[in-house]
Amino acid sequence: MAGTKDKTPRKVVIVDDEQDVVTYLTALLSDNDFEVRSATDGQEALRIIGTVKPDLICLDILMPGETGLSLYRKIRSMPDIKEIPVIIVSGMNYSRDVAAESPLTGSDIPPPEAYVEKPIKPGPFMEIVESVLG
Amino acid sequence: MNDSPKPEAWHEGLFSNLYDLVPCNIAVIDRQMFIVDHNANFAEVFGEGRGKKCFEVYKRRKEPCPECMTLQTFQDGKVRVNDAEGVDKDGRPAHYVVHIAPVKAPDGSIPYVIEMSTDVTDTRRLQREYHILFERVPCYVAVLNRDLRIVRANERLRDTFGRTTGEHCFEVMKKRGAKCENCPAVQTFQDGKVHTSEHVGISQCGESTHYIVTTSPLSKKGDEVSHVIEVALDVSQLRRLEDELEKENTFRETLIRNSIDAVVGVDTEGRAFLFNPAAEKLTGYRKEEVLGKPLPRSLTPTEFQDIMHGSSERCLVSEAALVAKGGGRVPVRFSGVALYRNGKTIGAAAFIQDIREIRQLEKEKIEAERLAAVGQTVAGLAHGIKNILTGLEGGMYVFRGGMKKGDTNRIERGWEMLERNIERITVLARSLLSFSKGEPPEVSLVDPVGLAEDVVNLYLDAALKSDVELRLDAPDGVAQAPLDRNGMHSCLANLISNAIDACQMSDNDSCRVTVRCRDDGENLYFEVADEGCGMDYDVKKKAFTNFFTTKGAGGTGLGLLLTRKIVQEHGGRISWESTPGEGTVFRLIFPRRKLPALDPPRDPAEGPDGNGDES
Repeated sequence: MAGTKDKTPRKVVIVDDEQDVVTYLTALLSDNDFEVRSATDGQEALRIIGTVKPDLICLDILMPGETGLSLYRKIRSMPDIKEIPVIIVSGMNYSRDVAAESPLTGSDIPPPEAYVEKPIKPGPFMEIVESVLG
Repeated sequence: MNDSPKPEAWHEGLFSNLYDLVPCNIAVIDRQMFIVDHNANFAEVFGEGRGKKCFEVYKRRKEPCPECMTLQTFQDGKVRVNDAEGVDKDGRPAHYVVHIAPVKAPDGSIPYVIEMSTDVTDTRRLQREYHILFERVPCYVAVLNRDLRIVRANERLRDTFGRTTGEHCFEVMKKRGAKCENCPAVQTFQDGKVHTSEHVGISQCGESTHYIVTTSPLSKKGDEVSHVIEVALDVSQLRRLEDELEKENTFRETLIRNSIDAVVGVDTEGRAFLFNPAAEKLTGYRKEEVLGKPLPRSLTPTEFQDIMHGSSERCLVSEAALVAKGGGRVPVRFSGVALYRNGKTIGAAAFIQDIREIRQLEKEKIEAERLAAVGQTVAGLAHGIKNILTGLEGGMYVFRGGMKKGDTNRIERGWEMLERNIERITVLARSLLSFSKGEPPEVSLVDPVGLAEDVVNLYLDAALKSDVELRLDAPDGVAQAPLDRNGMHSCLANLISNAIDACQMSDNDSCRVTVRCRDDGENLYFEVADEGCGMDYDVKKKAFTNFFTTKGAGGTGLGLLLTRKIVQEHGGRISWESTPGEGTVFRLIFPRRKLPALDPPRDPAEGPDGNGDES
């Protein structure tokens, strides 16, 4: 699993209101040599993303305060961070529940780079992360 | 001895008798216009006149009349007849016809004139009265000759039928070219008797005119009737009223006969006089079994009996039940009203609506809503379980990694995660169980507005953070109600939280959530209205599991289902309206008479305070 040797660690921001999910993904991504920052609400997330300029964002789409989807739209509309790849993590079925929802479909906002449905299995999740980061 | 008077004396007696008894007034006037003598009749009419000037006595004048005929007769000795008007001794006008004759002296001079007048006052009056009667009587009057031509017609006939005199009556009154078949005038001409029949004529405006005509013989020439008078009474107005009445009656009967609702009428004794087909169908009684007999008590609520007994004027019972003939109970809506005539009660009428079908539809709607809610809740549950599974998965990963690296801290954390998520599953399972078992609500008298205020205050912070304006709109004077405070608190919290979520999903910059509490006397209402994204049925079903709470590990994902259950336990129902892009209103409706009974008082230490008890 220990992939990169010499380069500066890749940075990831995890946004989820479930502390356990944050803990889980932090452990998993740290084990895979990511530098992990996390946020449990949208405003905090935007602040951290703006400062850290991560290589990847993992986003839950159902959170108090601000939904993952509207946070996603904000990320995609801010010039300095809009190119950062986003993996959406959710308990909902993407193809059925999320794709039909207007904020992403039929708008000029590009879709997320990947979608992961909970529960999250470590191996497959890391495969998706690597394929997104190419 | 001869007893018989001398011829001169006899003549004298005859003359004086004749002078006083002749049925006219005789006065002798001299050339100075003084009345020299008059007979007794004259005095009867004009009073004592001897020695007075004739114009003073006849006419109460001070001067001679202009063109005095007596003066002319004094001059030319001719006999004259004059029609004069004077004043009788009582001051009343007198009409008389006067003959003026000269009394000639042997020398040919005329020392006196004799005036003989006949009183025609009564005749004149009769003529006038007859004329008025003929012209003004509120009937059509015409005199016909044997050719059925109108010789004379009164004012009303002329006004209604136009030009009349000389025309055939059938032309004038019916605008036809030949006489009518059943002409009563012809019959009267034939038999000299009175005939009556009803006819329809056409007025000069072209309107049909109904009249009842009576023909009578007026004058005869030998055995033949030469003229007939026909008197016709216009009954058009009456016929029109009868027509209207009949139309009205038919209309009313049709309405009652074809009414979907049962219509029942009873007299003051409670005996049925009206029982329409819908009433037969609803109650199972046939009309013949009910009419004229006391209406079975099982068909009407007590409120209606109050009307029958005169202690109430009307009633509306939105949920009543009647017992049909076979003994089956039928849920009905019942409306009753007292019947009056000239201010006196003459009975009562009842309108009864079968609400079985409405009930069935209501039940089906509730069932459909329940199924939809179940679907949404299951989706929410799945989401919740997935989160817990992720927690378990994560716990295992962290734990295993700790084991591998010998990191006790990490082992500890992983273990805690496993424990916490197992606890979440336990909580979820327990609340599912409690939901399916159904715990009885704990009812106490609650101020509904105060309760709504508590919940609103609880969410003010969350709303502020989300740029949502949350406000309470409630009038004073909403009465207390027996409610399960905790249950109602959960319902409102759930709806407000959903509304705030809906606002966040909306594209609108500023959104408002309004919580209303009101009371219309019959129902208590709680409303939560948002200006959020709004939803249609499909969206609700698919997206964002609206009724899944996002309140951390305590959320059970049973939002609407629990809300519905609590509302139903209070005898209420939920309705909602939502327009995509404009917002959603959720309404909890509690009919006050269906609210649960109060529980016995509880330990005050346990009393709900409305804060922090949100589940």
